[in-house]
Amino acid sequence: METDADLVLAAQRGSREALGAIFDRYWPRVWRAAYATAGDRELANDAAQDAFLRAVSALHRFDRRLPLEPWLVRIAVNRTIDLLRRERRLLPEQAADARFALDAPPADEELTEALRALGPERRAVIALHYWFDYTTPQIAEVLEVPVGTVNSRLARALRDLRLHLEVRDV
Amino acid sequence: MSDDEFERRLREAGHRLPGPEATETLRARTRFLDAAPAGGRGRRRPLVLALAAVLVVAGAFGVGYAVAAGATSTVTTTKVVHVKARLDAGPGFLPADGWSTSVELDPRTGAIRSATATGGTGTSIVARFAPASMRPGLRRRTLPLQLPSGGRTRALHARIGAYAVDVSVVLPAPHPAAVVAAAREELGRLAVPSCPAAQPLVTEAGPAGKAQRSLARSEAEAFVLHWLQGHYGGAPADAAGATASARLGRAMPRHGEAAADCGAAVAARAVEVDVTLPKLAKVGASLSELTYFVAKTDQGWTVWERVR
Repeated sequence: METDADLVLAAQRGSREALGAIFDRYWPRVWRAAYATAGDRELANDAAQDAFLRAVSALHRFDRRLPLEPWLVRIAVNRTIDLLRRERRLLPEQAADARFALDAPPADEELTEALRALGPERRAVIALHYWFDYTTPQIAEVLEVPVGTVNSRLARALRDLRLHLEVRDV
Repeated sequence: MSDDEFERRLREAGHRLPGPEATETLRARTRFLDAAPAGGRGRRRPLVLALAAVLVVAGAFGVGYAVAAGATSTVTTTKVVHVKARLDAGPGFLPADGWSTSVELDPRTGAIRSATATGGTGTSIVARFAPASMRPGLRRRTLPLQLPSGGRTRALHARIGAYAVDVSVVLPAPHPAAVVAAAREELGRLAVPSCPAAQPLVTEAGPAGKAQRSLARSEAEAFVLHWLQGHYGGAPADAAGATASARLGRAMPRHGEAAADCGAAVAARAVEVDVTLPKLAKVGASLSELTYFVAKTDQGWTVWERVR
C-alpha cells in the first residue's frame, strides 16, 4: 500500500488517481469525526466535504512528512464546530440542540442525550479520545488548543456525562 | 455505575457510529476531484503569480486595515485601570511622580496582559506577561529588574514568579544620563507577584486525609466563585450562575502547567478550579470555561494564575 507521503507527492504532481486514493482512504473517518461532533448527517456531510475541498486547495503546501488524517480531521472538526456555532446563532437554542442525534441503531439514548448536552467542543474531545483513540496532545493539535485545555475539557465532559447518566439511573 | 461500565458504554457508542451514505460519498468525491487543479501545481505557475500579485495589493490594504482595526479594538476590548488597585491580582508598575501607568486586561479572564509606564520625558516602558510555562527556557530573574545597556530601544526577557515577562524600553532622542537613570528607577518599580507560599492542604493519610481534600476543594470552589464576582473580565451578567469544580495537586488536569509555572512543590499544593459559566455554555466551551490556579497561604486563599 502506498504511504501518505507517496500519495501526497503524486497528488501534488497532478495525479487524480492519488487524489482519489486519498479521498477513499480518509473520507469515512473524517466524515465520522464530523458526525461524532455534530450528531447530524447533513452537517457532517457539509463539514467533511468542506474539509476535503480546503485540503485539496492547500495540498501543495502540505508537509509530506506529516500524517494526513489529523490534518483532515482538524479541518473537519473545526469546521463542524464553526457550523454549529453559526447555526446556534440562527436557530432557537433548543432547535439547534435537537439536531444532535446519533442515529445508528441501537443507539444508547441516555448517552446520546448526555452527549447532546455537552456542546460541540467537549463532544469533539470525547469523540476523538474514545472513538478515534487520539492522545490528548493529538487532540490539542486537532482543536488548536493547549494540551491542558484538552485535559480540562475531557475531565469536565466525563464528569458531566457521568452526572447525566447517574441522574437518569436514580 | 462503575468506571469500567461507564467507559464501556462510551466506547460502544463509538463502535456504533454510522458511516457516510454512498450517494453523499460519491458526490463529495466528485467535487473533491473536480476541485483539484488540472495537471498539478507546476502548470499553475501563471495563476499562482497572478494570485500572488493580487495578494500583495490586498496585503497592502490589509496592513492599513489591521492598523486601523487594532486601534479600534484597543478601545473596545481593553480596560485601562490604575495599577495600584490591581496589584493584588497581578503585575504592574508601582505609581510614581512623573510617570503615568496603566495595565491592559484580558477582556475575558481579567488577567493582566501588559503594563505600561510613560514618563514625562518621553520614555515608554512596556512589560508583557504570559504564563511561564508558555516560554520554557527563560532565565529566572529577581526584582528589581535592571535596565539593559544599549541604544534608544532596549529589551529584556525574564522569568519572574509564574510569569514570562518581556520588557521593552524606548527612550527619547536624545536621552541624557538623567533620563536613563529615571527609566532605570521606573523599571525598578515593576512589581510582579512571586509564586505563592502555598500551605499543604492534606497532612493526614486515610479517611482524615480524604476529609481534608474534600474540605480544600469546597473552600477553593467557594473562594473562586466569590472572587469571580469582582474579577471576571467579561460582562458581569455572563458570570451569573457560575459553577466551580476543584482538583488538588497531581489530580489537576493542568498539573504539568502549574509545575512548569511555579515548580513541583507549589503545584503539589495548588488547586485547579474550573469554572463554568452556564450562560455562555451554549455559545461554546472556549467562552464558558475559565480555569484558575489557587493556593492557600497564611493570608488565606489566593488566585495565583488565571490560566484562561
